[in-house]
Amino acid sequence: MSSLSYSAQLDLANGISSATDHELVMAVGQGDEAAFQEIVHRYRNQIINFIYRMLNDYDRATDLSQETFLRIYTSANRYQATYSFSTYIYRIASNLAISELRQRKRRRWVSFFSPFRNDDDSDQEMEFPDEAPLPDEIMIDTERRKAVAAAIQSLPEKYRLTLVLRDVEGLSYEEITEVTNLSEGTVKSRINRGRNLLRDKLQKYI
Amino acid sequence: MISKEFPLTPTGCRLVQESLDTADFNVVLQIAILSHCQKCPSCQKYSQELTNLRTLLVSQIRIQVPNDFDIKLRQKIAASKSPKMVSPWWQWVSQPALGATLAAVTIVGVLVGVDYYRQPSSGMPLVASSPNPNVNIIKNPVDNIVKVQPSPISSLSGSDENHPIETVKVITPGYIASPGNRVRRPSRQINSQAPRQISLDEINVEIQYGSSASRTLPLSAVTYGSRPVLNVDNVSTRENKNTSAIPEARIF
Repeated sequence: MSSLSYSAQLDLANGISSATDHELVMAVGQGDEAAFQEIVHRYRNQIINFIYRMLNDYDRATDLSQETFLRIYTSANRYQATYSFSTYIYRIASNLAISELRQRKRRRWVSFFSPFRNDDDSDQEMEFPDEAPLPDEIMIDTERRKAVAAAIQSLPEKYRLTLVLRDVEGLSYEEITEVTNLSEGTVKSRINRGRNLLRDKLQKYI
Repeated sequence: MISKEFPLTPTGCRLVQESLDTADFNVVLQIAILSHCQKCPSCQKYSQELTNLRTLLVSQIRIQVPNDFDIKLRQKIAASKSPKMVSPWWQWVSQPALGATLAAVTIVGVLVGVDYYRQPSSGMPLVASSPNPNVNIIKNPVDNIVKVQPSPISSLSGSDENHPIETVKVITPGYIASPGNRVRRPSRQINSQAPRQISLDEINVEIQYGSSASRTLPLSAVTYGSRPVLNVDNVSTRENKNTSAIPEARIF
């Protein structure tokens, strides 16, 4: 084995984009900024969408996905390739998302920006402004998307996490057990329970 | 070839539905499941609903990463790299000027303590916050709600250029309203207690630098150029019925 650093190896191979996640993290651990940028490009879309599905809050999803990458950056030199990198990053992101949900639960009784809304109001999915008139199909589709988002938000966090990882993000059961540190039986049970709850709430659309 | 069959019994249905849930089956199992579902309306319905549910979930719109994602990430990384001036306590003890050091620490402690008790408690409601590194607090003329938006804030009293500002929070001891510009609100959610007038000095802004350091300033000390960030002509507080002793917070 040569004494070249991972960074140098990646440069020599002229293939940051073709490097494995593991190689990239090792390079980041040695201060390779380009390798870190590549990791961010590979995963930012997945991570921000995953956190968004957990929180239904665009700004916090952005903030916490940046925090996820910050933690990858600062702990890259301690990274152990026990699991795949994707499992590792989803674990960090899910821990941050769950921590945020628990903090929200604790301060739920204080409503800052909407002090007069009813207790049964639920958070609305972020909608990007669109001035164009909405045809019926689009309206129905929008309504359906909102209903699905609201139904996901209504799930208890333990069901929400496993269900989002499986049915929205498409992770395998094995990956989910690694992300959540739960047994496969528990993961399957939680996904099933979450689906049953969703099925009841979304009966109109399925 | 191994053949497999699920009988039309509760046990058979349970096994089929479990297999459908995990979608973890080979060709042989798939044929057996299909065969069962063709004869069992209950499992057929289960299978169809599961497929539809998965389709609904997968078809949720994927959000876009904001354009400034990488820039803000870089700023956070830079902030996390700023050195923290922390020395082990035994180095302090070993100094010859121990007495002077302890005296200074005591004085600082007393000052910080006095300052702490002059600030609103941590339970005060938060009415505006932003992760933006550079922020300005503006008042929306339409709904009169104060928001924090990105802006090149040029003069933030006590700011430190070496530590980019990460968060600005406005903390108030209660509900704040300007009498000349009130927003209509349902009276049923407000108790009959008379508004308590609070002064501008009771509104504080907490500014967080990097990931750990923070400072709390009176709102009047936070300026944009030479102007105050926010003018509040008259303020009052009311308690919200739903939260009993905890006042709602909103700035108009």
